[in-house]
Amino acid sequence: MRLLLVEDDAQIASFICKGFREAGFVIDHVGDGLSGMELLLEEKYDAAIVDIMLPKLDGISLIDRIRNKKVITPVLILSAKRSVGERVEGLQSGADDYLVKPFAFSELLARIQALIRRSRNIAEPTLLSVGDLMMDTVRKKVTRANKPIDFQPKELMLLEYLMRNKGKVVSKTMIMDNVWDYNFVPQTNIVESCISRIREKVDRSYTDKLIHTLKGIGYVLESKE
Amino acid sequence: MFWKAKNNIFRRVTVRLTLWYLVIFTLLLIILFSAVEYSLSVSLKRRIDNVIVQHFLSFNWIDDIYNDAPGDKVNYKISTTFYNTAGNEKNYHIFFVLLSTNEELKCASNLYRWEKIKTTILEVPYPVKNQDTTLAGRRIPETRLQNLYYTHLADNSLIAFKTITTGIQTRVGYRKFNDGNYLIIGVSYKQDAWLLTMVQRIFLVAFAVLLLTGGLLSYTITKKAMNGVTRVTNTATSIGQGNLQYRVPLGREGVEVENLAIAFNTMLDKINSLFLELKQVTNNIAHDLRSPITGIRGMAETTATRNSTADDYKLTLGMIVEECDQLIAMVNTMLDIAELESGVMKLNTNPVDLNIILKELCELYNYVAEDRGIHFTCRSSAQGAMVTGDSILLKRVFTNIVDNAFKFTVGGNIDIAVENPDHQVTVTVTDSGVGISPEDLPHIFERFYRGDASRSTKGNGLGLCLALGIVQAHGGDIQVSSTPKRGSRFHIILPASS
Repeated sequence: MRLLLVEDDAQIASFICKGFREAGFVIDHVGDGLSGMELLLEEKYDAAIVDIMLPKLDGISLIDRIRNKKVITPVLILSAKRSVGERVEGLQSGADDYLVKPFAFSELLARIQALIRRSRNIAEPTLLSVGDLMMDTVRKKVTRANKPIDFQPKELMLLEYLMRNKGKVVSKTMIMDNVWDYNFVPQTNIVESCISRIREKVDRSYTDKLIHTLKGIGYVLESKE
Repeated sequence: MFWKAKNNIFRRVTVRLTLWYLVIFTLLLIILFSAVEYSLSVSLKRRIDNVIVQHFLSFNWIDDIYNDAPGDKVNYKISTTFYNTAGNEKNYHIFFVLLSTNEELKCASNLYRWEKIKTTILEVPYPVKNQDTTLAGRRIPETRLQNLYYTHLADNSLIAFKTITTGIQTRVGYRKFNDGNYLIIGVSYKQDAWLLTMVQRIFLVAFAVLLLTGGLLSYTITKKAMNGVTRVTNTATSIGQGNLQYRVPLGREGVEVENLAIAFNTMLDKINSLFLELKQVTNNIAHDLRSPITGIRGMAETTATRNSTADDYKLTLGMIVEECDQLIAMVNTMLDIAELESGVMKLNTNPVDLNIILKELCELYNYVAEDRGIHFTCRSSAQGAMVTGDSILLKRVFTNIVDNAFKFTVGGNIDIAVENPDHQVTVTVTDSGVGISPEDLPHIFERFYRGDASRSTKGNGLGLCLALGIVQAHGGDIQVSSTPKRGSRFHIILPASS
């Protein structure tokens, strides 16, 4: 899949490019709004990541112009401003998503993948599997090695999120924000507590541990076998 | 610099007002005195004319005598009468002349004073000669003789008046008798002219005095009125030099100036509080942001300079990511607090059920309670707990306070109770944790304040400050009671939606 990054900060651009290449994307990077617009008009991209504050042409105007030319490439806006007004303005100009700097790379990756899925009209799968762990998101049934496991609602939400992002790092902030809709960083270990419940039910009696902790960064759900 | 540039004397309101006042005052005085002088001179002239008319009437007999028996005897009698009436010292300002039909001098009183203008006097105006009564009551401009004026006596005979201003100032009246002779009576109005001059002099002196006192008075009054403005200016100048503590002292110049001073002081209070806020934020950045950054830097440095294994690096980087997340959260919270306190934050208000918010929160914290062996109870309100507010912000209030309760409680109990007393929804969070010391209690809602018990734990000292800010923005309040080592109780009170 092919991405375009329009970002004038070289350091941020380099870590985004590196991250996406490692995740298997082809990513082009330009440092100003005009070249970004030209590329978006000429080439075919699956998605674009656009900073708001850009030299030559700002991100909002860029999106405005490409949308006027009927370019429907999904665009995610990056901004250092966190005000609601800015967010609304960005989305009204035709952007598809909005992420405030500083952000976790894993979150950017997850959102870009979701954008691409949405733009290709791919429905979110309802049957998820990681190794021998299966989840039917409609009937709320989870099995591992065909044995059913019971979960509390909050646990089920978290497990589903982990399974949908399988192989990718999910940070505590992402869990608080995207799973439980809490916009804050707890000083107590509520995420850890919930993860340990899930881990207890999913991994305890199996040698192939699926839930892995990256200390300080977050969690990954993947099968190492 | 600022003050000197504007110090041109004619740009001062005081000077301008005084000048305006003086101009208006002068105009009014000139109009007033002109009116007085004009009416005075008119009434003086009228008085003289009356004297002349009276004399004409008193000399009616001359007409009769002349008609009956003209001759030297009669001439002598008339001359004697003329001399007797005009010739003595007292009445020397008046003269009488009798002219014949062909305008020859027949009899006259002493004309010594009028010798120089005698020809002018003896020239009978045309309308009197011809008894042209159509001209009665009119002023006729004439090249040599100005101010001719005609009137009628009671017997309908025509009289002309003429004012002579050259030589001795005189008012002269002319009358034609039935037999064709002319009687001329003149009165010097030198005394009246003198009176008018005196009046003018007095006027000039009075004018000068009035102008001077008026100017001084208006200057003083204006200056006094402008005092308030000057005070505001002085205060503004001292503030410009960096002292925000100055306030305009309230004077007694009147409501307008008082309102100006009050408005100015209110503005200063607002500026001062914003200034203090800015100062505090700067201090916060200096102290409270630098220490975690120092920590991050230290971790990275020690790991990089030692013989660290890949695992050490991973661990350190993980810690750095975690610390950065905390810093981001802290900066965001600081901005939220600043927005709340400056009143910039817009609340996205909707009906919010606090029962639901707290039920979800309890589900989340149940795991922590189990892990820590805390007896955790949640009681929702049976009557419902609807408030109007911003659900995202309200969630942060309760997560902050509940998170705090768990942070400071090991073992023991935590209880959350939603209640719905009249027109209010209260959420009470009670814990049996370490409690808050009486010294810390008044300060726990201050930004970055951390009590002794809190210093060793995670956190940034902003949570309660933000919580109170949000609750107050919703028209509510937070009350705290606490006993050290026994626990704390937080009451969050919000107005119930009707």
